Amino acid sequence: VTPRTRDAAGAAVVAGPASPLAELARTARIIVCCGSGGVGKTSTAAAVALWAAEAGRRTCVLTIDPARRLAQALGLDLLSNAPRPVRGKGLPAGGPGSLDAMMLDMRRTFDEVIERYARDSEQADRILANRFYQRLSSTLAGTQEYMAMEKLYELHESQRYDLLVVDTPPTRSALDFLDAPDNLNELLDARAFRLLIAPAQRIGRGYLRGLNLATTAMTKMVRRVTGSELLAEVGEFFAAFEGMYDGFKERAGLVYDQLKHPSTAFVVVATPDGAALREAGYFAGRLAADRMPLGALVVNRIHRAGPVPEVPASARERLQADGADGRLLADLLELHDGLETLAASEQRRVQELLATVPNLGVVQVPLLKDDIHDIPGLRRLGEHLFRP
Amino acid sequence: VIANRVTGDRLGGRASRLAALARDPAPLAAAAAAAGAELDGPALATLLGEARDRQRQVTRERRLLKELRNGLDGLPMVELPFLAGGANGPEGVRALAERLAPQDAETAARGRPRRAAGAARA
Repeated sequence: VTPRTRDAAGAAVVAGPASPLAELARTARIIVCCGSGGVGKTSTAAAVALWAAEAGRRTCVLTIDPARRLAQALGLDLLSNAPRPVRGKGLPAGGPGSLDAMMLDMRRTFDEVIERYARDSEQADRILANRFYQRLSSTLAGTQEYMAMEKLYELHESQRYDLLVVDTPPTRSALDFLDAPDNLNELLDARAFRLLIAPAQRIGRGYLRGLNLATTAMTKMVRRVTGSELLAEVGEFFAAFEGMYDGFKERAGLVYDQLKHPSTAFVVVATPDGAALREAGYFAGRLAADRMPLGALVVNRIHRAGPVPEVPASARERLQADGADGRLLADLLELHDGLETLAASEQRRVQELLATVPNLGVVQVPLLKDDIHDIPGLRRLGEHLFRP
Repeated sequence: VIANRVTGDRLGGRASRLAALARDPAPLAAAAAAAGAELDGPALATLLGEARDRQRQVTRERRLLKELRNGLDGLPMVELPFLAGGANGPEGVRALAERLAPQDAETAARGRPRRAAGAARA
């Protein structure tokens, strides 16, 4: 059975029972691909989404990576902040499945959230015009991840899709994705700060000067996250924001609940590099600690050496002394030895990680010959992901 | 700029022969037989396939490094080799350090590398 075939009843069937990803692509509502930077998260997310779409599911892949990797992988010029159909790139037309893609525009999403949940247009306008908000919405660390949660919530609530595949940002640490909503909520919900700032709205900005705010931890935090002196604007922002905190907190809670739901699966993506696998191990542990559903581990760019009989050192020395062909063959054997060593060390590292995460399904994807920049390339990757 | 984990080009110009040898490995089979190496057709095909994969990687990296160098506007760039075992031990770290700042005999004896003229400061 292939992902593009159908069963007797005409329903699409996802193949590859040996792959832990097959069941996820068939049944999950949300798949979150996470891991450290440069491990192939975007390509993996796009390949999973394509596979599910071709198996008949209405699928949307959402990237938070501003580097346009998803657009490149899908062979598109650009992506926008709203889902767009991926068409005309070899996708089968007329089936029940569909593939949409979008790239999170952090600022625009924040603006949309403000417009959607503000009491009225006046409150929305006040917030959108506020300089602190403008900094917050485009530069504050963690905002991107938080807005991803908001977008995920919006798409999930719309029920337009059977499956949402999220490509998380290339963060310093994969853990940031889980921590960011709490961190931003903490800032927005900083009641002590709001109490401190609120009188400024009533008695004027002189109050702020009267207080030695420069020495307070909260002020330092605001300075750190904005990089400039915007205290008056901060006060106005929090005043304008009044009444919206609870909504932010509530939605973040709902998304968190959905992320913990059995219909969600986290797919940790890594390479066989020690640092990437250590990061994957930490992330798997964190997911387990937070009781979040860890679906599978994907290890991209695995090296594999083929079977070659052992050639003794004496024969190798004779090859080296036997003209151009002999020297070339001796060098090919050296390259093979290096590949064998590398492949063995990669497998050792993968097994060490698996020993720390019981019952984790793993998919190993070999180092591919070509970069992935189109739908056929994603299908090739899908073959390795779903039929290893 | 330091480009890490650059695949070594061990074969150099000889890589251009790999495609022809994959079609007809007779010269390599003859060399193997003469040296007493028991390498049959499938084994030679494996060796040639692995070498061609590696060469593709070398070519791809060369292209990317050239693009990077063109965008550096004259900034110095140092390439560090890919180490199969990683640079976890002192030997690996020393191998990489020597590529960053080649040692002369005097500084090597003192155990402190000399910064190469024009080398990028870490």
